[in-house]
Amino acid sequence: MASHAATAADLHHDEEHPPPVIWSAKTPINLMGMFFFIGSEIALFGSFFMSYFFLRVAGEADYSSWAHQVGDLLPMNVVTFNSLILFSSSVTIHYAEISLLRGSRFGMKLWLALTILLGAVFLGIQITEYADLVKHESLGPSTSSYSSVFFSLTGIHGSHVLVGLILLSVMLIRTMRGHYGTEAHQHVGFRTMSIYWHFVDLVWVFVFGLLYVPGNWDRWGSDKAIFFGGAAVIILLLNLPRFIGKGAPKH
Amino acid sequence: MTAPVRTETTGMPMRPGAGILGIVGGWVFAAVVLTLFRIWSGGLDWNGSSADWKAALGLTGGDFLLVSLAGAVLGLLLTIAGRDAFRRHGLLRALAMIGVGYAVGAALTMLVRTAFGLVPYSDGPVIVFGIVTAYAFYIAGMGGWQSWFWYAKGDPTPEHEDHSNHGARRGWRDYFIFNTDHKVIGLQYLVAVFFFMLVGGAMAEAVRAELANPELQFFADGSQYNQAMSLHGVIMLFLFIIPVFAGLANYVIPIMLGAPDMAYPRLNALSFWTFVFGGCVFLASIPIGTFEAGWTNYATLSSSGGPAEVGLGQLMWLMGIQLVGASSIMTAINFIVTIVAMRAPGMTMWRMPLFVWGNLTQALLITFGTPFVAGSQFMVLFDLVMGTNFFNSMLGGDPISYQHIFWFYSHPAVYIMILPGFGLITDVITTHARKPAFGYRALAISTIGIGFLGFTVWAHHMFTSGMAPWLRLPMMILTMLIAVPTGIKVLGWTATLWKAKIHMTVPMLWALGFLFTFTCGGLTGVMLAAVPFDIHVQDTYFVVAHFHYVLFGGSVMTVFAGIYHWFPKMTGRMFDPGLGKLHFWLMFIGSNVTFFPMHWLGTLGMPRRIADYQELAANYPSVHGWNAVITIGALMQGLGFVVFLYNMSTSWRRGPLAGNNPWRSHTLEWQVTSPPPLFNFHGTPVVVGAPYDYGLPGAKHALLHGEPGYDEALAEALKRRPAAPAPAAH
Repeated sequence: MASHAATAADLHHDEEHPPPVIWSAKTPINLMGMFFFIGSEIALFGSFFMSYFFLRVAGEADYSSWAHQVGDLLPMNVVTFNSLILFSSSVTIHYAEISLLRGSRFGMKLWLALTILLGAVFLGIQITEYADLVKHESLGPSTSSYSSVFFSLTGIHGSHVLVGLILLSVMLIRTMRGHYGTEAHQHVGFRTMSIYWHFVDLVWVFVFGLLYVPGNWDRWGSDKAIFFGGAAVIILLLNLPRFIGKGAPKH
Repeated sequence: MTAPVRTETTGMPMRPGAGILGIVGGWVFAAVVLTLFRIWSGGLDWNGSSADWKAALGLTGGDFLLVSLAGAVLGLLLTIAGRDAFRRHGLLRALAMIGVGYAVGAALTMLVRTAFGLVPYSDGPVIVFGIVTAYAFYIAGMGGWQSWFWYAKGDPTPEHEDHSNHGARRGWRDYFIFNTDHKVIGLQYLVAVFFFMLVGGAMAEAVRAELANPELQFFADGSQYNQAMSLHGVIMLFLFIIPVFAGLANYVIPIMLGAPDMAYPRLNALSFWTFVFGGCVFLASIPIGTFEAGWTNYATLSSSGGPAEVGLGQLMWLMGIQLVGASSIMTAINFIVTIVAMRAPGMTMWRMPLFVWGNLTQALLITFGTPFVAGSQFMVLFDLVMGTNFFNSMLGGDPISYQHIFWFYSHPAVYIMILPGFGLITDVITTHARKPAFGYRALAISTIGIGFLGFTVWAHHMFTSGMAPWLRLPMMILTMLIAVPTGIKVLGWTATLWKAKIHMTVPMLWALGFLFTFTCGGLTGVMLAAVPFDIHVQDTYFVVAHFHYVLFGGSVMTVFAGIYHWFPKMTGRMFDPGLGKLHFWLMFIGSNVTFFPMHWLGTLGMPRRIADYQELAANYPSVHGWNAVITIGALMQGLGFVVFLYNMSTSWRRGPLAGNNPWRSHTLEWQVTSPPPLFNFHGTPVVVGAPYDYGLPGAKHALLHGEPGYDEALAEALKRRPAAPAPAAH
């Protein structure tokens, strides 16, 4: 569609179609809508984090500690590894976007498929962790208030990952059918959905950092090294183009 | 696969025999299915006796009867509509799909439960998942998922090329399909919310009938009273006052902005049909079970025990609010993006009508606030159905956390209920008093200020809850602070009216009534903000008086002002002003008679939400008298509402033609025909000045395509536009 309408004549239209819109904002409306939707999802997670903080800070003084009820029972090594998987999926989708901008359709499909794979593995491991907690640690949503908050937060995050996987599959199907291109107006949908995936990843940073790590700092011990080491590797990979002389990563 | 283009419908004539066959067939089918289902889930001991057969065929037993009746009705509908109606996307197909969807969800849940070794049927999970799948199938039946499904597959989405489900060119039928035209959706919302207002008002009349005398005389027991009282609150708040602005704004705002429609027309339609479904889920709590915990649904009254203990109606409430809340958020995001990205050239933020400012702020509050009530109700649902312990203090939960999370939304909610009204009152006052708004920027900025401050004061609903005592003083001060931007607005409106040429039209009457009554309500709000005072009147009728003054005297009066103001635009006809004035006076006098004495009753100590106040009446004889007076006032308001409905329906069909601009307003929606053309404008308009410059010689707000001066103004405005971004790909 023509951007700046040059003359008034361009703005007249016949009865059966709307006139071309002259946008009053730089951001495409798909992206804008996704940002505000993410804002509302942040508020939804916020309500559960609010409950979590309330129960831990203002809760009954003689109620046993978070570490005792939930923290000690969590499989930290598995979850640390799982977190790295999810963070890597954000990297792969970033490379999918770069491939899109460079016009490499094979790259788009490859990195998208990898992202879906990593996301599905994350979800699978989370479900296995749930099953393990219920069967072997007797920890379920109804065990205590702390376990309720834990399962709700991770469960709502998991359902957002599932929705994200569906969106990623949509992106992959459309990519396979030839959609998306290098022009700005041809890939807004791609960028919109990848922003959702980055948001899901960001929420996991908070869930992991606020639910799994506190109360487990000492026990988390050697996994700390794996986690921060892994994060460093991911950051290195992200900046690979810069190191091998291809300039700053394109955005 | 292309979308079918709509053609004229030709229904199959129904033969009497076919109709009877349909009724009987539907009845038997439903009875058989329910019986089999009950046997499988272990809820029925089948002995083959005549009693068993009678129950199976719905001749005895409440739920069997209901299901059989539903089957009979469905069978009848099938035959009346013929096969054609169910071949097309539309409301009939959607209604049929509700039953199918519920059955699928219930069956899936029971299968999964069986696989995990649990008892197949359990009220909570089956009903909750059943409602979710019923909703998904219902929207599919409407044709709501079609576009996105094709988009996901990578197919073209042609309906936005032929606009076959846009606009109301075929008459009333176009209002019962998945229509993407904001004008159609606006009217759909308005009719739906006034239907819900009728139900909520009936609940109120029932409550007042009970309270006219101290003893329990209208309802059988306190439980029935609680249901009526809870439903009154929930319906009026979530099904009337919040969505009515969605309706008005949906119709008016895109035209006010010079846009051909909203930013996301399909999402707009999805939002409306989700709202209708959610509203009906709320109403389903009447036959299915009780919902007694009040609109605030406090834990642990609402969350302890199990679904059977608190009443199945509670599940209806919890699912209904998720659906209505989701609908609300979808609409809000739609408005924010439309207002930010689709203003006509030349319309800077400071040239927008104040109705748009009010709506923008409200939409931001909805987007960031509603998820908190959703979260709190999820927690109640989980406590009820999954046995979690968010609010169970025996296992470490805290009931007060419910109140904090709930009120964190529900206080901004009251600003959600009033801010668009504030905006449209400015439109009404400036137009009908022929004077520019006094302090346009102050009015706009104070709207944002109220919205922002509204998020900081939630705990003033909890002064007596036992929360941390140190929180009360900051909450008190912040609450009193909100009176400042509110006062700026009230004084701004008053100054606008000062030395203006006030035309006593019906919209102006409502605006003046609003100014008086809302100010009274605002004053009692400041009184309630004071902790020492609130401690004495919390949960008494003083609070009831306060919020009805600001909700009825505030929000509802702005709604009526807006309805009368834009009625000529929406219908092309003028309402009967005599009936309009009668409506106003009945409601204005009625509401003051109803809600003023409640202040006294509150200070005397009459508690809220009780049906029987014999003890208080024994100590204070005047309490009985005042309650009787209040009931009479409530009847006056009901009468006014009937007058309103009559006026609207007769004027819509037979009122005198109104023309494009009966109020001689400057804003864009009045510059087009009544009702407006399909895409609102024949060419994008250009905004050249402020929206309310009445009385200033030569002032113009906007120029339409083709008017003298349009070309130069457009060129000028385009210079200041950002370089256009990529249009949305389809």
